[in-house]
Amino acid sequence: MFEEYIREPVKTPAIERRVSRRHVMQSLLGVSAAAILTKYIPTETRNGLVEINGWILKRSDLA
Amino acid sequence: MIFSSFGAYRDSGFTPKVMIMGSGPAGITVAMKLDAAGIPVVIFEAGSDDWTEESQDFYKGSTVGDPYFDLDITRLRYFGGSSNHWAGWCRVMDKHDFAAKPWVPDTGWPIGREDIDPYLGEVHDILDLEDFRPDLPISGQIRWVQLIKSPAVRFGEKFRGQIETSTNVALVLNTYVTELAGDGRKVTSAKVWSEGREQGTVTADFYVPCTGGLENSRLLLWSNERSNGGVVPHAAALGRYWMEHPQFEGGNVILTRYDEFEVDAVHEAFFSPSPEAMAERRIMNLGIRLIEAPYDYGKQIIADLACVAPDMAEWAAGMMGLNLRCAAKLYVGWEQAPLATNRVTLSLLDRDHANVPRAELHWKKSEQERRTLLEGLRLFGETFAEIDFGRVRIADWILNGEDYPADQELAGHHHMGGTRMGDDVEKSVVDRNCKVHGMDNLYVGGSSVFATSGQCNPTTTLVALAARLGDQLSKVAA
Repeated sequence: MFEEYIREPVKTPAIERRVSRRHVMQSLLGVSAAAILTKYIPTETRNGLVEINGWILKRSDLA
Repeated sequence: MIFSSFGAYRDSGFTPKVMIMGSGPAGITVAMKLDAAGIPVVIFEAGSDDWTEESQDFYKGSTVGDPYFDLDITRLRYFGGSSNHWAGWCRVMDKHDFAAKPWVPDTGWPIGREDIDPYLGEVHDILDLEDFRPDLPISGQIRWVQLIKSPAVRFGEKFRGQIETSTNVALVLNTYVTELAGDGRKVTSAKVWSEGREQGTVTADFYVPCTGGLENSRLLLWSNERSNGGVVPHAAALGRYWMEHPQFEGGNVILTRYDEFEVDAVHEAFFSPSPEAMAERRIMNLGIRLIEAPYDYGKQIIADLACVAPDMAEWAAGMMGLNLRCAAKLYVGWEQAPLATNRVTLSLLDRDHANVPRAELHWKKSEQERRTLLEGLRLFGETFAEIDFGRVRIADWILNGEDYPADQELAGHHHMGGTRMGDDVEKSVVDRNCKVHGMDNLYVGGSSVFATSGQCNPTTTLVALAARLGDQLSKVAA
């Protein structure tokens, strides 16, 4: 039974989709950019303060 | 009286009531109190009256866990002990440092600050201190705290004359007490090694190891092993709960209102959290040392700030143009959570020249300390932003949870715990009077009795505790 399954796997649409080199490159670049940008996304702390790239700032400092 | 050899001391016929091991700040403070009370006391100092390579060799040992200093470098084995290389920074542990922190297990002392307060006048005389200025809260969360950079009293130099002329105090140099013998109720004798060989045993009514925050554990562990538990009958905590003050560069700050606090002669100021803030953030105590930075360093951090807050950076750059002090580095030293796994043990492989097992230090910083470091800096940064004292940047390695830098100070050479004070015999070695649980005549002096460490340098507090111990011994030995 298992051998049968291996010989004829259920083909899902995702498996059938062709992955191009261009798609891979775009994904890699996307991840990298996200990682860099995360450093500069302000994190709310307390009393209207934000933490961004290690700096603890007032929101008005970001104007 | 000062004897340069054990033989000369033996020939003198001096009969002590109290035997102190070690002539550092704790040992000499206890001895001076006993001298004032007219009680004969001998101090056995393993080293001579100056540094020698041969003496330091006895302090060699190994460390397991986090990087730490070589054990023969981080302390000194001669008259005056480690006071011969301390920096002289003084502050007494705060009232809240003696209290338990319910969010961290095994914290807190069985005594309070009020128990050592009566001795602080004497401590000022011993350490040549000026009066402490009061701490000033800059917010409900952060206090600008006062720390005296004293002349760093070298106990050997300061007290040599008094010891030489005293008829109650005998200081015996080059005499190493390798072990104490005990019967489970009392110490019965001390074994002495001098001039390259065993010299037999000596006795007194009371025994007080003051050999330092590593060596007290080593001496008692070895003594207890040799006496089959007869020296420290309740030994579950012996050598354990050892602590340091880890110290690392934690970030930097651009100062916007720098006239709100003063820096000292070397451009430093110190800050600590309030007890309420520690409770709210569930952190241990910490000290933030703000060191004003040179012009070029200021330019670098303003350039970094410009990436995230251009207007703020432009303002700061303008101030730099006026060549004002407006940037600083932040160093953080903090109180460790007391952990039974941080401990001094006896080496199974290596012994010193007197055949005593060398010390092995097992020391590792915990996750609680990561939290103390990061949340403590956030607390400081938030206060500085809220009251417009400046803007703080936390170092990347802390934010990213990276390894502790290996090229920084590491710690303060503050050796605490190992024979900690407490009421629970399973988690402490000495009681609130510094007497070893279950023993009638064995006391311990020095920072090895610290139950938790606070954030400040330990010498002032340990000298106060030693003065208190000397006072108590004066009464029981009279």
